[in-house]
Amino acid sequence: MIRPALLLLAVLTAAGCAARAPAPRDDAPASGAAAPASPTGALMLLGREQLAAGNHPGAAAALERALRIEPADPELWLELARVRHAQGRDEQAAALARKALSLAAGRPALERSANALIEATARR
Amino acid sequence: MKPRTARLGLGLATLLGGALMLAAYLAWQAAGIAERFEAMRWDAPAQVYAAPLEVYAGLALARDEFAGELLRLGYREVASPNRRGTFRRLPGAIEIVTRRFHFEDGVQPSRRLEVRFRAREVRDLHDGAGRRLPVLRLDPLLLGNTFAAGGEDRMIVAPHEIPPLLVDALKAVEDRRFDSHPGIDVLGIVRAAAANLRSGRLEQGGSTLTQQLVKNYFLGAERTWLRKAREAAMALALERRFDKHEILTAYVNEVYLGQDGPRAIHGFGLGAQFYFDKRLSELQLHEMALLVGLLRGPSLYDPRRYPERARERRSQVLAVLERERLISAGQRAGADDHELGIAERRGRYSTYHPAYLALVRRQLRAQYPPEELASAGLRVFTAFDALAQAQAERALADGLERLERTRALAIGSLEGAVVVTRAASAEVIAVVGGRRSGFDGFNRALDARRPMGSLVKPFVYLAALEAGYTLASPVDDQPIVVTLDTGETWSPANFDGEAHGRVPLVRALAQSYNLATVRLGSEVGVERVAQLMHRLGLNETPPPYPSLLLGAHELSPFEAAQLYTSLANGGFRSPLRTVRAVSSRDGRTLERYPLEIVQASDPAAVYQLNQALVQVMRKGTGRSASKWLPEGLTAAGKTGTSGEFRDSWFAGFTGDHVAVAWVGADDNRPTGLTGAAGALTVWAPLIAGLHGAIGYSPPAPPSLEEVSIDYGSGLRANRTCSKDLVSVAVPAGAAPEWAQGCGIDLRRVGSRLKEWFEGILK
Repeated sequence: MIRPALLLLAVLTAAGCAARAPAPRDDAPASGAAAPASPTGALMLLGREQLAAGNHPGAAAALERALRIEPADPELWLELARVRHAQGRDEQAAALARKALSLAAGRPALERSANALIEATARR
Repeated sequence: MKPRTARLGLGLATLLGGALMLAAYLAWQAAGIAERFEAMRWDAPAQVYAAPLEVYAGLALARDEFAGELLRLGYREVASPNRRGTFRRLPGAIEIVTRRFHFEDGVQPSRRLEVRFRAREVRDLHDGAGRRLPVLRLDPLLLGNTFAAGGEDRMIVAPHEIPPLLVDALKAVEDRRFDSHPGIDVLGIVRAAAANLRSGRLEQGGSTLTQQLVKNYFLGAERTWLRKAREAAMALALERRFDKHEILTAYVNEVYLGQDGPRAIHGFGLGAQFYFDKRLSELQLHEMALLVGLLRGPSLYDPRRYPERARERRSQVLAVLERERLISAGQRAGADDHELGIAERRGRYSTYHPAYLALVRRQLRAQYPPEELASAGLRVFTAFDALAQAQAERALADGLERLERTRALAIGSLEGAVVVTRAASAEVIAVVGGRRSGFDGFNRALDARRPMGSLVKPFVYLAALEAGYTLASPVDDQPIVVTLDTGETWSPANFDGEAHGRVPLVRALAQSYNLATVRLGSEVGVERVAQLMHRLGLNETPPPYPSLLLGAHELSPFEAAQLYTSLANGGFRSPLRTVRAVSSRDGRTLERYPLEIVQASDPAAVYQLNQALVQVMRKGTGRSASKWLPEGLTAAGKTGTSGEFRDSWFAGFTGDHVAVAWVGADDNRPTGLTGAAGALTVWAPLIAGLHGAIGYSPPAPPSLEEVSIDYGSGLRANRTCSKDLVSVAVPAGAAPEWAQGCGIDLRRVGSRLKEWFEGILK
């Protein structure tokens, strides 16, 4: 009876194997040399990766996670606006960019990007 | 024909007819069974999950608080964490092996981590290879299968989640020929029948797993020959239609394993939790053996009531497993030596939150009818925050008890409700529907609509700010007569019975002056106030009667939370959500409820308004909150009291949380409580106890400038000319005139000089 013994072995070691699971696919990436150490930075990176891969809902979900941690960070709102823009949801994109603007006092580069996005949504 | 043969013939015919009828009956029973099984084998109520805890460097969470959270999630504290769902405390750190979890946005694998702490916050997270991890999302708390019908409960496990040893053990102990028999085991029946004949009673089952499943699904508990026959016919029918694997999965999820008061424990998933507070995949050999042993008689071998019997039965099961060479002699001996290890009955199910779940149900109602929630095995991911909920429940219960005691009110005469949201994400994180929070009764948070009293005032002032008023603009707090649509006249009064003359808007709002508010609202237009409230989240525009200005409009605490969440969110409205996503049992995302926002008011106007709501807490009707709030935590809020003290309200927010509290009597009797005397004493301890609260301090919009004014007159002032200064934001260029005696000429020159210099430097 080799099979059940193997099965048992599998059961008993499953937890141990899982602890050494390979790099996750869906969670925020563990930081290598260049990866950001801040939780929102990592989640924004994850969002950008998802966006680049065309996974809009996944990108938005990662950014919403980040916003729960840093609700007043205009960069996160702007990034979410970009995801909506990429989805063709211009009204939502413009509203989110305005939200980013309302938090962007003293950050001219960010203000410019937000305004550019609002204009882009108006043009379409 | 002779009478005797006739009788015999008749008897035979009757017998034959009876047999035919029985056969037809059984065939009829069996025919429907496959379809019913198809419909029922996935009969699993929706599983509702709380928001997962996100752990990251800088999170305000001490080591032992984290350990407490882990225990609440059913993690076990062990000497050396190797299995999923275990952890240990180290000096200044926690070592943990997380569980694998299928979130709405993908599978998160199990991992081994060390979380280090410094002071009362998280310092960093490292994995086994020493790499830093920026953020860890823990598997979420399961709120229970609250949509279960008929008091039954399941924790469905998918085929791949069933430990192979469990499958083998079930066959070895209950049904050795499961893989080959057609649904009934003739050899087994013959043996059982022989045994029963010997004893003269129906003792031994000889039932196959398939028959046991049929019995669990479709038949009552009575033990008759007819039932046995039906069971057998149905089992044969099931086996013809479904493969062994499907039948076994259904069995594992269906079989009865015990009783928890009115709640029947069905399935090994729930059984593992009920007896060991573990996931099925985390069970050790001795625990699995105990569950398998229970099948013979869940009450007979109940390990809590009859530990000796249960242990004996476990030994029998282990012996069978060894005999079948499923385990080694050493494993058997090791498992046999184990204590039963039954979990205490603290149970995560004692945390039952009907008020929040009612809101979840309402949000899902549009897409998912009740039958589907009760049976489709949906997984519902919510924003529920167990800590905030506990804090809200405690704040309400303690607050009402304290009010009754200190104000000599009849014990139990007061009721209340609380709603807590996160401003930016517009997520409802806690709902308390009454002081008996575990009781699924009248949900005041959602269904009690009461006059909002002065909770309406911020919307009057915001309408004015949108129309170009500033917080320093003067308004007359003088007796006013309003002509109603009916032609009648109405003369409101102030709470203190006085008129305060010309006052700036900021003071009129902070002190909640009625006369000034009615005058301001009439100047701006009631219509505009009503429309603004609609824009900020009321489902309908309230009727624009003058009485709206003093809060005659009725709303529920939930609706008030919607309005104040829009204020806290800087004038951006999002419909309040409880559910983030719904997925099917196999992990497919069926529906997402993403964050969607609408700019409902001018952010600069809302910023100004919120500055006034901060003054409510510093100088106005909400200042008694400082008794509870941590020093330096900036909050904004508003008191509300309806006519004759029937309703006591408080609504307010910090940097990330919005909370609305209502206190009153169910029979609408006056309680004598103002918003400050009543609801505020619930709101403030609640806010103070929320985890890691941050103060309200949004960046000032660049279009505004900060000026100091005299709180009494609203004129620009400094310390030389005013003893009561307040700082307000006004649109650039709209600063009021200087008050007399402030040394204005010098200052004007000074500021001109400054502007000139700045002009050169640009």
